[in-house]
Amino acid sequence: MGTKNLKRIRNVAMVFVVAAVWIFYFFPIYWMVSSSFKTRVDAFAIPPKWLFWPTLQFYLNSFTDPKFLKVIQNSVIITGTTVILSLLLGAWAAYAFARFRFKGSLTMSFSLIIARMMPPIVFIVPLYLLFNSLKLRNTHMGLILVFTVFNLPFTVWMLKSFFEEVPIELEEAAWIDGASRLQAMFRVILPLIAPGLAATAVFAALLAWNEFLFALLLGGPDTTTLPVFLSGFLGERDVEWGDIMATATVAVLPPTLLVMLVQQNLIKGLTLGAVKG
Amino acid sequence: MTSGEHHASFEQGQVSEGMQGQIRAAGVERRNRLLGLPLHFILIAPTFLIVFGLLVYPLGYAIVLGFSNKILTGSIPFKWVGLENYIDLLEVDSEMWTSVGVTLRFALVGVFFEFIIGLSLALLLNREFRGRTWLRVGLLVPLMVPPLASGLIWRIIYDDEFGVFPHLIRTVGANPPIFLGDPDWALYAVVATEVWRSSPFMVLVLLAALQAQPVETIEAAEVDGASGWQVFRLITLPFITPVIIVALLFRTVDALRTFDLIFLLTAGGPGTTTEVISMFIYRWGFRHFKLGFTSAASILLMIATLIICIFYLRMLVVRQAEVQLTQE
Repeated sequence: MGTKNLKRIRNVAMVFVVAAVWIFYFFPIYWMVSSSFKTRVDAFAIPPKWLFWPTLQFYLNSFTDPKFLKVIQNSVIITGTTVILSLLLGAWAAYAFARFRFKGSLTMSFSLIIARMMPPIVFIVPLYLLFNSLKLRNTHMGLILVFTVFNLPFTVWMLKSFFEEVPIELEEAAWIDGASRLQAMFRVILPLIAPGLAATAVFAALLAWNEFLFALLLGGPDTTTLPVFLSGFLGERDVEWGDIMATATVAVLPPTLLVMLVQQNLIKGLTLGAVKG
Repeated sequence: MTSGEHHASFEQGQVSEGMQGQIRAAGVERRNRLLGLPLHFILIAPTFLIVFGLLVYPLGYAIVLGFSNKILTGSIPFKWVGLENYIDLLEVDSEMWTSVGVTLRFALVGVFFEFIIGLSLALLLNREFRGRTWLRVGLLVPLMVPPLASGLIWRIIYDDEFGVFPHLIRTVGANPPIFLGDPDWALYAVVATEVWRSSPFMVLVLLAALQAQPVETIEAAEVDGASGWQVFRLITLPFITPVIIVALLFRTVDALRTFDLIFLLTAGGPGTTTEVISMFIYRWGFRHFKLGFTSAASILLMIATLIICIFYLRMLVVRQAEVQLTQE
């Protein structure tokens, strides 16, 4: 009898814990999304309104604004190209690190980790001057290059761990059938690690989509990405929370969908092989 | 020898053992070269070319600039100033030390709470209970929100006039501070946002470590009569310690990188109470345009990051050596 009661108490306690954790993590998101559907009056109501008539006004505002559409276009182009470039270059380098033992390979791969750890702000002044003199400021190409460089250390390490999981025998079989190293890599190995590639692509996309510092300082009016656009609201007087929150919701949506897609491989990317070595 | 011949000789299997070995060696030799260069070299070259061009070269440039008085716009003539920038930065009560203090408090308080929350939730999620999947999915939510957007969201939640959080405090009957505007509260309000955003990372990493733990050792200990706490302290904790170290390293270094969140929430204010080191560099570079001074500060930050990385990595290596010794 006693154990049964204890169990019941524990179950109830568990429900409370789960609820508390959910409220803590989920409430801010709920507030963002709900604020994007509140009219101005409801948004500035004191006390804050929990129940209200939703309005689509702010989404209509945003999606009929050519400036906003241009911003989305910028973000998509820059993120897409960055992902393709980082995967392409990253996969080559990762393959080399995973399959060849050569002089300096350890030093090189570890120097990539250190590059990943460096605060980006360290590079901003020289990059700013470099971009000015190369006329790369305020160009898509410039931002794509910088995003790719800051993505690569991580892409290389993640892909390297996926390559290492594929037994070398599979490749050797392909070589015996006359395939070259690169053919074996593209036709045998890459299809095998497709889930890993997808996860890596999602991470690269998240980093590029959310990047702010470089987009703010190395970009310009022609390359305004969503984060930069969002931060621009702060300078305005008479800020419409509805507008901000609608834009923020639009910015959060693609990453959310992507993360849902690769949930399984998420932890691997986060730990960068820290767990399994 | 063409690759066709090579291919044929393997297929027919008529070559003697010694010759086969030679042919294989020749095949490997050719396979590992492209355009006369080692293949691995060609594969790595593009990555290192752009890493060099956009990371290493700028770093060198920053080191040089750090010894000058370069400004972005204005009429002060360019001049080499030697160590002057560094001396200004490292002076006993310089603004940089204030900023270092803020960064340390931000990082230590934040990482501490992330770790506590992370470990408890990971231990919880490592057991079977109803609602486990739900809890897990809920945790993923903040990970998807860009730091910038999370800054905006919390700004609205903290807003002293219309925000929900101050309102909830008022309903309880207390008088809420102006969270982001009060020098005593601003940093902790920012830390709370950071904990919200980053503790799921801690949970997921520690959970992955817990689940990699072999069940047999725990069962064996339980058979020997170990209590839950003993199992945790003597078996689980040593097992996950390397992962804890790596996770703490990641989070500490990430705290040093924090920029977006603070830029959005407080922009370093009120005064300089939330000005972490990245904000400090941003302010001197892009508000006051003192690029030489800013470069010197960047170099100091780089050195500090390197020291932390080396410190943690050494800890990790020593730890692994210990584990190996005890196992032998």
